[in-house]
Amino acid sequence: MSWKNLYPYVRMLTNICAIFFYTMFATNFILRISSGDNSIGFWTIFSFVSLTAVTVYNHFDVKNEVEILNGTKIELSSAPGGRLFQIFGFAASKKSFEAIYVPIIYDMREEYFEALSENRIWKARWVRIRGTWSFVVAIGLDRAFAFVSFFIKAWKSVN
Amino acid sequence: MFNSDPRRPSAKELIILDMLAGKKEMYGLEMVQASGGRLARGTIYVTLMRMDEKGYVTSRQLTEENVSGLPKRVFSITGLGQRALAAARSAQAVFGGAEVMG
Repeated sequence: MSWKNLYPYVRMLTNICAIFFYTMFATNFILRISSGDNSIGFWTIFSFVSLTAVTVYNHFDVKNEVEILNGTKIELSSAPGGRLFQIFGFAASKKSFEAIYVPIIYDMREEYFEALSENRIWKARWVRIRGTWSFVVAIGLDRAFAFVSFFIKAWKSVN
Repeated sequence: MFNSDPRRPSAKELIILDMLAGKKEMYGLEMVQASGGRLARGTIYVTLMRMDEKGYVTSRQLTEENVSGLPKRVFSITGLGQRALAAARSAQAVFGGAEVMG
């Protein structure tokens, strides 16, 4: 039995802990109401929302993990950068898109797949983070240059 | 340091021109890896696009199939880029590195 097989049980334990804390805070809330304190404190709401979210997340996470381990589900993940294109692609001109955005994603994917082929999972994760950061920096610079050049052209046309 | 003449290549542009002068064609990641930390992944393509607009470099997309599913863009130096590099090297020899490299 591999240690990876314990993952679902560890997550199930976190799930149980989340339910325990949720019950604890809910009890606290009921006691406050019953003692005549009608105000709902920030931490009561925060704990209620966050712990409910954790519980729901854990449930689906464990379900997913169990399905993968049982072989009833195959996990597919998209290549890095696809979502960046979807989010920021609309903000770029065609020229910037082809000359800046596509090459950055190309480089990120090349390094990412190279790391994966060498079975270097942490390097692949780092490449993904660094690539996303480079993409954001490039967008910032590109938009800043576009703004400055537009401003200069407008200034020249006025004067 | 601020580059007062927009036609004069900046320090980063000179690094790129210097690398491209020694090779036929290079792509962005190759330049970043060859620069030894002097060029960053986030800024190289913005710099290359500006150099393309100035006429120092030219680029083309390779149509060969690759693992990323995206076209690869390679850059090469133009005649104007070679002249700008030669002028910068001459100026560097006369006035010193700090003045020319900006």
